[in-house]
Amino acid sequence: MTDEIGQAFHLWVEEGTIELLLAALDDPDDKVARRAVKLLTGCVRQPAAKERKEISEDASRQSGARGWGQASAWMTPRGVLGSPKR
Amino acid sequence: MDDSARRARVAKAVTAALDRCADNPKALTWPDDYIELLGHTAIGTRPARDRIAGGVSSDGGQRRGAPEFEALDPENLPWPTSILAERKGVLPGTPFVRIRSVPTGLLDLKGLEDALERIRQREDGPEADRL
Repeated sequence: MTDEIGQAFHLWVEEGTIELLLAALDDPDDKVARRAVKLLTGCVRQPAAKERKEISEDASRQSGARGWGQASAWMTPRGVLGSPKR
Repeated sequence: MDDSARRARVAKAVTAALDRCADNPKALTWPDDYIELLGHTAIGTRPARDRIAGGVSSDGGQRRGAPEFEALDPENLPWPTSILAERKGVLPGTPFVRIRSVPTGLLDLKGLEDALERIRQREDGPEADRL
């Protein structure tokens, strides 16, 4: 399941997915936990300026970026300065 | 579950995973990924901060050693270089040099320091008051 989510995250953007990834962190299968770590990192890290510029110039990447941005909002305390902007 | 609780849950799970493999971080296969995630999520959690700081002092360093250069025999290229050379249409006798960089087994020192700095910044910022 985490593999499927990772291949097309923008199609899985809902709060239930975040909960599933949180549960996957404790999965006894290391591969599942590792995949969850990667995906959750994508949810909380702020893309570098260069990456943001590339996304803004590439329409095919913008829907994916919107998905990560929404997931980021579900992981980031509201009203905090420096919250991820995508 | 609210957003802050999610981050706290991530930090707790990642800290637990790192603690389980404290004697052998490589058991996590990519421990640097766990540490990066911890750096993005841990706030005001001393165990998480101490775990990363401990890594800086004991396990941190350059992930790869200095590159090693090896001149290959152009008339008898080893596999898979020979296959690649053929596919790319490289003329026979063309000199080749193999460059290797051997992993050291150490955690990425810069990743550890970045993670620690992110946690410190959040502890000094408004986010800390919410948790």
